[in-house]
Amino acid sequence: MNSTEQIKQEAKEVVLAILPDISSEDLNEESDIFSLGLDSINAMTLVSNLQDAFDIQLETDEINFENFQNLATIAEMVEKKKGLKDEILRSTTV
Amino acid sequence: MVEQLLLEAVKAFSEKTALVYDNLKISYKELYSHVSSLSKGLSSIGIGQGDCVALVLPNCPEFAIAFYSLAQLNGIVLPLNHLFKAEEISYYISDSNARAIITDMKRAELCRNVIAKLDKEIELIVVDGIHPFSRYFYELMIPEETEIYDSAASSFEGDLLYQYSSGSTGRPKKVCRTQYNLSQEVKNFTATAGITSADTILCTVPLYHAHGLGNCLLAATCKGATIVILEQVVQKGIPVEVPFVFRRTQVLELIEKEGVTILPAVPYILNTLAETPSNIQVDLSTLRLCFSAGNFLSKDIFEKFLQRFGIPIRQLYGCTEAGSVSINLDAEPEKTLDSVGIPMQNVEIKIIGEAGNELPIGAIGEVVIKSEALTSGYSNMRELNQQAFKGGCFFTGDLGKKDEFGRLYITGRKKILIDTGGHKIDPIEIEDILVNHPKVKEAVVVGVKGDFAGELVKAVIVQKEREICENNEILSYCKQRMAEFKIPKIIEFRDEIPKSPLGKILRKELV
Repeated sequence: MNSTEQIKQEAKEVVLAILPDISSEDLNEESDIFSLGLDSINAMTLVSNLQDAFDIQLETDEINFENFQNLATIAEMVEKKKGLKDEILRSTTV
Repeated sequence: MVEQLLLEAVKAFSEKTALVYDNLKISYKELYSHVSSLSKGLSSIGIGQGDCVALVLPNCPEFAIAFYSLAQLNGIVLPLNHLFKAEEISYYISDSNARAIITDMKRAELCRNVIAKLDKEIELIVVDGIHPFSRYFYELMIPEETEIYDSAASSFEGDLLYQYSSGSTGRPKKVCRTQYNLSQEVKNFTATAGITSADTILCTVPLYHAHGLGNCLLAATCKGATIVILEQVVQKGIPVEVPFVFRRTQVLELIEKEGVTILPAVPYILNTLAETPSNIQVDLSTLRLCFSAGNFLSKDIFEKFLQRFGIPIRQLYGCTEAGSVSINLDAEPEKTLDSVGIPMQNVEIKIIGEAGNELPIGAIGEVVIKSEALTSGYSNMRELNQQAFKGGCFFTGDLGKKDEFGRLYITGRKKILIDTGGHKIDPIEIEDILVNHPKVKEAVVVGVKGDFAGELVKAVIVQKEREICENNEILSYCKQRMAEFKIPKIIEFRDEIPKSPLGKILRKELV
């Protein structure tokens, strides 16, 4: 199972791969990825690569500014999609 | 002249909503009051007839207010892309001899640095906050004590707008259009498209561009219609540029909520909307006219949009030099989807052959426009003007043909422009910057087809001998000198650029 940190790390690699002039140090959890150069051209590549990397399918209304503004929000969205939160909740209440 | 058109709308629809921006609704009366107050304010700092003011703003109500204020003052508006970097802004400000820059907090420091380097007296006005060494837009306004719209609007017909048209060589060419030109354009477009005060136009395209300015702002506000401006995304008080795909749901909701009747757009936006999955419930029944400009609309996008929303996209043809000149309002748009339609009212379009004669139906030749909305020429380019402007006509350089009903089809474009994510980029402009890099010997920029959102900008570079040049060096060099959307997504180093025996660059071999 992916931990939140693993998801963040993997998401970071996906984001860095499409923003080639951004270094790992420039991209922290709260960095606004739109300001770092996420534009119309690479936005859909990011969506597509995240779907492949995490084996998820994003709905249109999930492809929004709130979910994609930084690594923390992306990871949260991925986590929700994968149902990890529910699993964690279940495992902690058993 | 342009103010007269606004004033007529103000008098007829004073309480009606002129402009919607997020939760803000501005009535015609309020809009005109802001316009007049800002005019007085600008006048108090010495801006008057013939003075140029640059607008470095994203789409916002202040753009509209500033535009009409300058029209009222008989001044000149220089609307610039708000994504420009310092070098780009500096060039246009300097070339246009701008007396002031109106911008937002996000770009205030950038503009201040530009002004400092130019060593000219240029006022800086900021629309959304207090910035050192600048004036606050709303504080600059001097409210009128009485309602002033009984007074006669200016009948001045002179210069109103500077825009730049990318050229086949060198820097972009300055196009000046007058109050008379723009008032004719808005009359021609609104009469052809049947725009009335009952319409609501959604503006998702930039107001600094002819498409947004003419077909959204002027078309709506000169007819008493409502313009809904898609608002900026603001994060921690700072506007953030967000790709359209992340705003799709919001745009669809906005069309429903505001009862939008007209959607002017570009192929990229329409494609993004058309790809809305079928399980998302969308009601676009209020939309009576949806048109695309800026680039050729593919059959694929036309069909996807029609299938998804039941609305045929109409193609509109226009240019910076003349504004909108034709639109396809055919009764059977599916059959003529690749046509840009018949000329708008009071516009004449001819297809001219190499011998200067008008060509018969079906023959391909140069598209030539005659219209009262047409600029008189490029500033300070006598030779080019002699070629492009003859007998009151503009020789566009685009190739096209007409069918037996007079419908125009564009078959080739003069300018090689790259269409990337809704932006059009002149490759020559990027090449000019790249070849100034100390390690670059030659550079050619091309557009390559991307999986999403149009083309990708690709730079093919030949390095100078004994120099080792890295991708990142090129990227950071570009980043300092050009707007983000122009920066090449692909960089390829080659030993030489393929050329024909006559030395012509074989661009197709670089794609």
